[in-house]
Amino acid sequence: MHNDMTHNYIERPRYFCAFGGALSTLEALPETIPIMHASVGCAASIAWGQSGASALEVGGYCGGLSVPASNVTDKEIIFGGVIRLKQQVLNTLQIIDGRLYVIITSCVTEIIVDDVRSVVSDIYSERENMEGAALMYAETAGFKGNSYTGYDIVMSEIAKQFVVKNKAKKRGRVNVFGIVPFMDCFWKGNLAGIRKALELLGLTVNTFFTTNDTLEAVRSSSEAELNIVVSDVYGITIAKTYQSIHGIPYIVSSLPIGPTATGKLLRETADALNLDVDIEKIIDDQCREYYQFLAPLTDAFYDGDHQRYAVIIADTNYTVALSRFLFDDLGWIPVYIQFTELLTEQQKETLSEKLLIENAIINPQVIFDINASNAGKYIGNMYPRRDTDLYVETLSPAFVFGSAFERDLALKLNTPHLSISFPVTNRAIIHRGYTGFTGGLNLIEDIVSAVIANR
Amino acid sequence: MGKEAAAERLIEYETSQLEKALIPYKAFFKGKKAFISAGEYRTLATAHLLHEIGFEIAGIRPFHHDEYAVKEYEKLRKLTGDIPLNIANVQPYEEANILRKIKPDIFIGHSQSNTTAAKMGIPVHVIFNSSLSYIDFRGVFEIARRLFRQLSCPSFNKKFPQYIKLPYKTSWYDENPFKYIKDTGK
Repeated sequence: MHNDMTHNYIERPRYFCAFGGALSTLEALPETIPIMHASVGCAASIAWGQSGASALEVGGYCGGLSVPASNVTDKEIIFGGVIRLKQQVLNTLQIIDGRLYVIITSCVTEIIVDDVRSVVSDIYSERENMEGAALMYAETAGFKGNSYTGYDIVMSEIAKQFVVKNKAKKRGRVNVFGIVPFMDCFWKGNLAGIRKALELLGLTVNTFFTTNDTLEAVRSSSEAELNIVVSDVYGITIAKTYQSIHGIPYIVSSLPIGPTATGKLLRETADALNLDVDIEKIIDDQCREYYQFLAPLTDAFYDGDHQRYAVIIADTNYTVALSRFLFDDLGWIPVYIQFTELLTEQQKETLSEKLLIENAIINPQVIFDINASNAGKYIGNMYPRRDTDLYVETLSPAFVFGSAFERDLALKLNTPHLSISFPVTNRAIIHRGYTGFTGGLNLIEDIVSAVIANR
Repeated sequence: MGKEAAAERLIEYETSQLEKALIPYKAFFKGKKAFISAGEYRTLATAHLLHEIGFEIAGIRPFHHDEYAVKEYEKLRKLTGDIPLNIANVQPYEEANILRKIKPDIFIGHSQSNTTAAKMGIPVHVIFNSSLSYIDFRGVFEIARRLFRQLSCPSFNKKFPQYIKLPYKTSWYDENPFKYIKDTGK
């Protein structure tokens, strides 16, 4: 049930390069200073990208245009940039206040094969006192992939170079991977929602990137009993690294939006950790709270006949999470689902299975095509219609979920629209999350409000 | 206006187009029990319509009664036999009692009065509102589409009975739903 189209161009990219993803990830870590070994302009590019596309959130403690960089030019490209880099790192250590300094390399500096590792080891051997700071590097050249790849690379290097080895495992400690800062515009709210859900099981949760997280916890993340990857694709490489270096097993779940998916995550986690908890009672109590909040919406929801068909065009996390939440909890029907990333055949199979509805009368059309602009064509094929056809199924009433780019499609289909997936240009998100039992209620608010916007 | 022949041709044409389109919906609705509630005429008209598209009419709740509707009840009874009839200006407590006993597959009711059924986990659909098409040939198809949509995905309120309580004591459900109607013997 999936189509594959190959392209020799990328139109309207829905991510940064790997470097941008790595930089964004580092900007979101506590007390962390990214040091770019890159040509002039990379930080600005990413900062402007975030400003435009990450729901108005830019940078972090040391982000935006504050990011220290070697700013290589012709001279370094021809003669090598290692000397410039070392000078930059030493000066950065002197004036920029951090506890973890991570050198990241760009397209240019990797093409000229600068030996960054030697810079790091030189500095360590020359300096007697690092004053409690740690220095490391990651090779995150932009051409290696998109932002999600950059997140995988830099976090894996942190696992290898910064996280303490041979730590005894502590009962109840877990790490969460799979949500990429600035790419998931709801990353803070979403990580908080997942943490709150897992804490119901009595766990201590490391989510790396929120105000609840510390660099010390990152350093000690090897004492976790289990790693939880809340994505079918992002963060799996990181979990595998933790497994091989720190001996920590991992489970994969989809992004948990709403009671059904969150209940599923809790069951899987309790199972993986062999927890002695009354899991069904915990889930039951949370569902009760969710439904108590939802109940007063019932009258108006049915009076307005607010059930809709859904078109979902998004990154891997949100395509799956949204589709399941809509069908399992909100009672909406996804009819068209498009994954906008390059995926392996195995990944496509796994993802398609997650979208199957048991005993479904309506199974959605699932498309794998990085070109989101083709959606109109696919949808047109699903609903061929002449103006004189009165008694045919149509895509109405409908709703388009996607990035801000999908507003065009929503206009053509004459439906409301909600930006959830990157790039989000038309919403400001600083705290909101959709994960967890009650996170789904936030999403319902946003969806129904979009439907009745002109009321 | 002297256009009877043309009118007949139009009716025949539209009806045949509509019937063809309704085939899969009728198959889907077959055997499903519907409970309908609205003003009296609308209730009866909608009951006829839903019967035509394949539903079994399991009960109706018109809000009021006027003499001129009597023949409509007779028409309906020919299709459905004896079914529970509650003429009530809502009276949700009676409704809750009746629905517990009948267990319909769908409740189609007036705005602001679908919530009792919804809280019982019964799929519901509003019988009309200003933006919904429900009259005429096209209306038949649109209603079929909407009810198909609603029954294909009832998750919104499926778990309501587990987590949301109706305000009636459990003992009420054992009683006769019409207990509080004084019989004047007519």
